[in-house]
Amino acid sequence: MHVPFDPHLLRSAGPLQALDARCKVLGFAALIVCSVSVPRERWQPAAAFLAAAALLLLLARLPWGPLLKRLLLLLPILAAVALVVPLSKAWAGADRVALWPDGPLVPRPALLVAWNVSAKALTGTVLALVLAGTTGAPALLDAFSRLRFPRHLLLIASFIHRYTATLVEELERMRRARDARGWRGRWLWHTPVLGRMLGTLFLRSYERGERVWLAMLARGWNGRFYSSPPRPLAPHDLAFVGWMLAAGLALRFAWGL
Amino acid sequence: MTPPAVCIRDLTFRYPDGTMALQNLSLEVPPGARVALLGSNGAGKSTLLLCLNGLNDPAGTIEVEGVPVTRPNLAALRARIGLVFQNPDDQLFCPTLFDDVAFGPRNQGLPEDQVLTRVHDALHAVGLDGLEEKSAFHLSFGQRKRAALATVLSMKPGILALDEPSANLHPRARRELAAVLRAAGGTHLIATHDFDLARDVCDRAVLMWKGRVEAEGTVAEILGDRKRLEDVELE
Repeated sequence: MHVPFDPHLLRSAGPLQALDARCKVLGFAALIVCSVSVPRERWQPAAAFLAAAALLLLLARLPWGPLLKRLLLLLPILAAVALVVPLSKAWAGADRVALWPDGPLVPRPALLVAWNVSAKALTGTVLALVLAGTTGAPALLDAFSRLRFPRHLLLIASFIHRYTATLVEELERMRRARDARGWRGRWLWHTPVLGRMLGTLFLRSYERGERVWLAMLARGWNGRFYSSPPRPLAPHDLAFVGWMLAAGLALRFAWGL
Repeated sequence: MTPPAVCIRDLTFRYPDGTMALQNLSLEVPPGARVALLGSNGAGKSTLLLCLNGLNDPAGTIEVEGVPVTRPNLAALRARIGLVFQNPDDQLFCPTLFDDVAFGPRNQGLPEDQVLTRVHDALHAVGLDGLEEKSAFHLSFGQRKRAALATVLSMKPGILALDEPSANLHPRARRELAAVLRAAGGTHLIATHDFDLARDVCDRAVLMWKGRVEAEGTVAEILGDRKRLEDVELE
């Protein structure tokens, strides 16, 4: 059985693919940090960062279908921001503007905050998707490791990457075994079955963890992880970091501090 | 004089839940022998393999190529005996196949150029050249079984200990695995229910029953004794 879970689903053949993963992480991080430091009163820099993210997205040549599916995850957050921010008491007495001719009146500062939060969230998400879509998960984990990210967190991420699909397969097998015996799951009192399935999945995962640990010990694991030496950075890798940092700073300060 | 590849004396092991897995088991495996460990479920085959690698702590003595299996010797022992687990998903835990096959040699402290050579040779031996950057999840089950074998071949162990290597394999994948095992040098200890694999790969067989050695002999002798196989619930 093949479970349609693939962390490389977004992998593209664009020019960003060839860059060193460490430089991509640093470059994208620089752009995101500059983007989130934009003051909430200014709408122009947030729009400029969003445009920069869109430009990188076009360069990455990612498939639109899976990309849009992932971007949909932002919708609840954006909807919450749009609904909650205008209701805050902080805007009492502020100028009000109509959202459209004869439309509802919204405090101007609230509109700016909602725009900034939404634009920054979208910028960050698009940049993260471009990074993930142009870099394979193993290369990304390796890059974070070489950038001295906490080893144990990376190890957990590595195991999640390796075993999520295996666990999904296991859950799918249990689901089919359940359905094959006539389970419909129509009523509330059927839910304990789901709980038992999840409990079983937890126990099986725990046991698998023990077996993986034994397999590591059997090959002489001494608590340390070793990786191959890093490939030397090419001039275009370094140029990418420099370009991203320069672009980030330029967009951040183009409309003042 | 060359010591036996494996020498086991009066091995007893009980799991924490009280299950007696091995009882006064004694066994000697000469260097270069290819031994099938045959037995029904619960006979103690897998437990025995874990004990050989120092992953269980039994009573009794085990020597692997003359080196006692004790805590101070574990690093050296694990370079001598390559243990392949039944489920390849337990064995292949790294993001790429390369990292999985390089895991053992790197733990042995080999320099990176030797690690590269070992990985290349091991993947070539199991017919998985060119798949270094693949994740284990993207391999077929048969490929994963062979990849699991490559993870220990890269350590160049003198002894291969394999737990049910042909379990869940279709006939062609089983034949490919048997060919790889026949081509691999050294001593083999293969825990299996698969009589065909035992005939294909092994020259000797040890019949286990309830944690003890019930019989030893050539594969033909052991598999020819139907009455005994019925007694140990293998037929």
